[in-house]
Amino acid sequence: MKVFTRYASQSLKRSPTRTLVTIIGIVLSMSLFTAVIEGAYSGLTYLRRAMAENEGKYNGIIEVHSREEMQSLQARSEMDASSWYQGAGWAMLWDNTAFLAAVGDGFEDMTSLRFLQGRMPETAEEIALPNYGSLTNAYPLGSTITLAVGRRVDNSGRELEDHEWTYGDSAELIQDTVDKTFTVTGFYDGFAFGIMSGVSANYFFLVGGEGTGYYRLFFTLKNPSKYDAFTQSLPQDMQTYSHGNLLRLYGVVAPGLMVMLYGLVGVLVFLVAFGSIALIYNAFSISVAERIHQFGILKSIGATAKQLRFTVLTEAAMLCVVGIPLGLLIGCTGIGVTLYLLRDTFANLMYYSGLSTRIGLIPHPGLLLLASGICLVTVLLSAWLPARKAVRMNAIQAIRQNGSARIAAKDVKVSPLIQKLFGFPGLMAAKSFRRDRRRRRATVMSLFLSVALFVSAFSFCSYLTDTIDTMIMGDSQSDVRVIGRYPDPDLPREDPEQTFAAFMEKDGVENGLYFVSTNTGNAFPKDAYTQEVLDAEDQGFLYSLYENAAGDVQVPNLRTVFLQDDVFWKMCRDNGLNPADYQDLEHPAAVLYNTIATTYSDANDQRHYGSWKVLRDSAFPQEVEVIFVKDYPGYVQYDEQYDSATDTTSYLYYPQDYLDQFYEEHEHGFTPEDLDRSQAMILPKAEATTSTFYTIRAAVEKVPFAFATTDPILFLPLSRISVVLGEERTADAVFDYEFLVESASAGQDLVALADALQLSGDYLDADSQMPRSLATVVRVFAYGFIVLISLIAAANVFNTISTNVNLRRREFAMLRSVGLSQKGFRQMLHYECLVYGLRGLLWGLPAAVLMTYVIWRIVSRVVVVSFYIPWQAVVIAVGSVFLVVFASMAYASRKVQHANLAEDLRNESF
Amino acid sequence: MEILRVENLVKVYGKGESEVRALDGVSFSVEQGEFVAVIGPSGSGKSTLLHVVGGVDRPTSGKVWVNGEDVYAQNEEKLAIFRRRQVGLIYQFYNLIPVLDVVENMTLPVLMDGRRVNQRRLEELLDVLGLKDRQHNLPSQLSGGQQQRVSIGRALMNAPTVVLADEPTGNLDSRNSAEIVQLLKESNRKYNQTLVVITHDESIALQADRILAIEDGKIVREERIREAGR
Repeated sequence: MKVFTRYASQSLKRSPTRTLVTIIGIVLSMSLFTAVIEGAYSGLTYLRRAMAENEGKYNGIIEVHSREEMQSLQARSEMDASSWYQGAGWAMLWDNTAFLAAVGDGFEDMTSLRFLQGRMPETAEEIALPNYGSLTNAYPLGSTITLAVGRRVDNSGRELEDHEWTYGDSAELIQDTVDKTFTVTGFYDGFAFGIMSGVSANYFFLVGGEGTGYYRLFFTLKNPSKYDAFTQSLPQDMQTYSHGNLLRLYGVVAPGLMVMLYGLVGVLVFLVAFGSIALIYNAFSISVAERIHQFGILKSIGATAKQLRFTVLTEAAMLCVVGIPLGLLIGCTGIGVTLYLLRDTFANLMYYSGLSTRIGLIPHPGLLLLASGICLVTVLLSAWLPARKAVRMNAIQAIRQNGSARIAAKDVKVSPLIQKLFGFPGLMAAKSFRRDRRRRRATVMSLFLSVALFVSAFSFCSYLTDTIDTMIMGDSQSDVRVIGRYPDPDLPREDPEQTFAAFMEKDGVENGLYFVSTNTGNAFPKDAYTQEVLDAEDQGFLYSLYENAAGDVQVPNLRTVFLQDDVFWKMCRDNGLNPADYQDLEHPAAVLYNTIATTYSDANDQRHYGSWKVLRDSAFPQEVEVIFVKDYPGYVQYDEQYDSATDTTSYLYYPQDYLDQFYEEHEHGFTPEDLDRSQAMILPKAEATTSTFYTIRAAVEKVPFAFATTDPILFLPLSRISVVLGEERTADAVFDYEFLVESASAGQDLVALADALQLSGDYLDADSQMPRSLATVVRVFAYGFIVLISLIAAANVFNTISTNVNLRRREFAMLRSVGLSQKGFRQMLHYECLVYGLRGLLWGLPAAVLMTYVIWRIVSRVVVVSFYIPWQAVVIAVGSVFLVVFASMAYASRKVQHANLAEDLRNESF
Repeated sequence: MEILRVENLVKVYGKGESEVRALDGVSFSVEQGEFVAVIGPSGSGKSTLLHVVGGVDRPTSGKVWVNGEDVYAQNEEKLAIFRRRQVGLIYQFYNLIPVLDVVENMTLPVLMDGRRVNQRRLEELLDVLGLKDRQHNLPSQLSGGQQQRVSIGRALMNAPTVVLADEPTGNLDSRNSAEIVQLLKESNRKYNQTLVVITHDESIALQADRILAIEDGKIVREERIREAGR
């Protein structure tokens, strides 16, 4: 067999390009296998660790009544580790029940209990208390506490079970008490009530020494996924509680998560296997076809089919020896680095914050072996299939063949139109394309799959991030908010420009703006609204509109923001509006953020997320009247009256005294209708109000970072504020300064500055991190996966095309010798590229559109979003297809073009 | 009239130790309508000579004139056209394009030129070559003899200045060989086609007007058998 091994290695060396490309393909596949499997495993382990850190690592809790029973449980072979607490009596503290418990070793490890001060009590005279302010103040560390410890009974004297609550009139009493004095050794946190503590007490105290009551055993199993089998093996009457949240991550309790994870991993592995089988199969079928002549000779001198198969498999194995370890390394490094870089992003995804556990690569030898095994099998299978057919061929037949498949006349029939339009090069290109059906199909399929996969992944990410963006659209993205001073007789008003500049000067400030915001709740005529928003309100999806007596519809949440001028002009430009249109001093102009977005439940109680346009396009420009009700001393304007006959509104002023008295008499509240109209001074609008006017010229979609996007907002430039609000209200206006910072410390600096300036500043917790982080994670992994799979496809295309060209060297030489010019030759190859590219796209693009449609259907069950095709993805896909095809052809023909014609003509090995 | 002239052709392959002087100063000329046979042992440079004359392989030094034009003074583009129109090449193996049928293979040079096919000439050649029933067959559906006939058809289609054939019968049985030689002779007589044929078969060589013997890249002997045209 040694000679066949040598033949194998020599064959690989003779076509270095194809060998290299095939190795690259193997490396890519192996990296992907490794990345997927290791990524999933590391992710799962991270979830388990995070859950354990947050809630404790115990798998379950068993209530045990005797020490012997507990010890026999602990001795079970399935048990990994355990700890316990034992009831040590009840007491009362400040009218609250307190349960005392002695704990076993390793209790903190097993549960989420953490000491914030001090340590676990060790003797019966020591006690640890929960970290409540009342307790830490009353009984600081090292002080003593005396409790009357006894049994807890109900009215009738029956001893209550530890977990029993008492309700209503049945009291709980502590009886048979003995006074005990303890020294406080520590304060702890993280031991939740409910399942974990299992007692219905207000306080849970830890003591040292021995207990007297029942035990609760906290345990972990060696194999948590066998939890159900374990609990079923326990006596029927034994009370067990499972740590559902953690066990879920092992497929117990609710197998859904693990099934989904395995399913996802399975799908990805399948995709990778599919791509790499295509590549390797193609590479080897080319390699075998080229050497069919040699195989024939070998057979004729006595090699068996088995030996020839062996040589091909040996080639495959040799490639694996190089490719698999390299792929393993790259895969682990790749996913390791990715997880490392995203570790904070993942931390943000966790429901609970402040954990020290971070995601990271956890190499699992068994899984790495599995990945290697999958890859090896994939490669060997892909090499074996083409070899199988070839080695069974008759020796003489094989010798006669020169590597090109038999062509049937009908295969290469092309339309005469081709020749008319594209000349001889076109004719040759069309015919050559059609000659080798299987190879052509393989190449076209690679292209088609890549395009479909790429665009689908892009759509998936696009729709998903749109969804997520919509969901987080609601919140303002500011990191720091500073509220200016309310009118204060003791302090001068701050100069907003100077104040703003002072903040912007600080290090680490990424962006900032300031504005004045008032809630104006404007009303617009009903026909100004879009049908969709009115319908949504009717259907109960929204509670954002209010129809007033005059038949106009009001948006109570609508606020008017007078925005820092520069920022306003920028917003105009960002939305394609001309700032010049908004600079009229006497007739101010505004823009409207024209969307309402919210989650709602539909008729079937399904939650959806939707966004609706508020005003129609035809409603712009919209005149707005800002009505200011005049003050009349001694009176309060409390109601309006609308007369439909005259279409006028009158304003009712009630005497202050009357209102005060009415309020006292109606403690539980009243509506305007309850008041006695005859007491009111009714003034027509002209006397009761003053108005200013401005025009809403256009709607905007993009707003600066500081504004929530769930409700409509009217924006005006700040410099127009006095024109719109009047001097008096302008003087009372409070400024709102909002900033984006690069780090938490920068945020703290700004808050400190606000303090120093006697303003109120707040460093806001970035609550919108979670969905944004999710979007990032999805993007990174989806794109990473797609790019790598596309590389495999590209390698496949490259292999096929360049071999195709190589195989036809003699033919090319012949054509050139008979008079095909260099230009004609190049044209011929270019046309072939075009055909390959177009064919691939012909299949790939419709498939991509179909996939996008499917994704849209799935997504729109959750979110209201209209169908669109991500055109950037299509453009990139088209471009890449042609790039790969042309590059492959260019590379391959480089050698052919400058070859010596005479040599090529003679060469029989083509 | 002198239609082909070759002066001091030298063709060297390789460098230094592995240098091979395939042609070492070859000079001769051919008259229009002549049938010249080139004989010599294998490795003597016959094929190289043919390729150089046919504009396929540039000589290391020396000149080739066809129809009074210095072949290698032309650029690549013109050289390709020269090959198309002025030369008809026939090889021992693998003459035809596998994806093109008989007619397309025969009219290959014309197709490349983008010109119209001379239908009358095509019909005539098909007739003479006995390929009328096989017009639309692919090379894989033809026997060796038939394939060579198509090559001859291709070589003659454009009525080139000179037809160059490299062991055209080397791959054929005796009956086919005789037929091929017959066809070549006919074209030589009928169309006054200048013919240069490389062969190792003496019986074929003796049918030519003149024999050139090559050995180690040099012409060692020249023999006139008969006057051209007879």
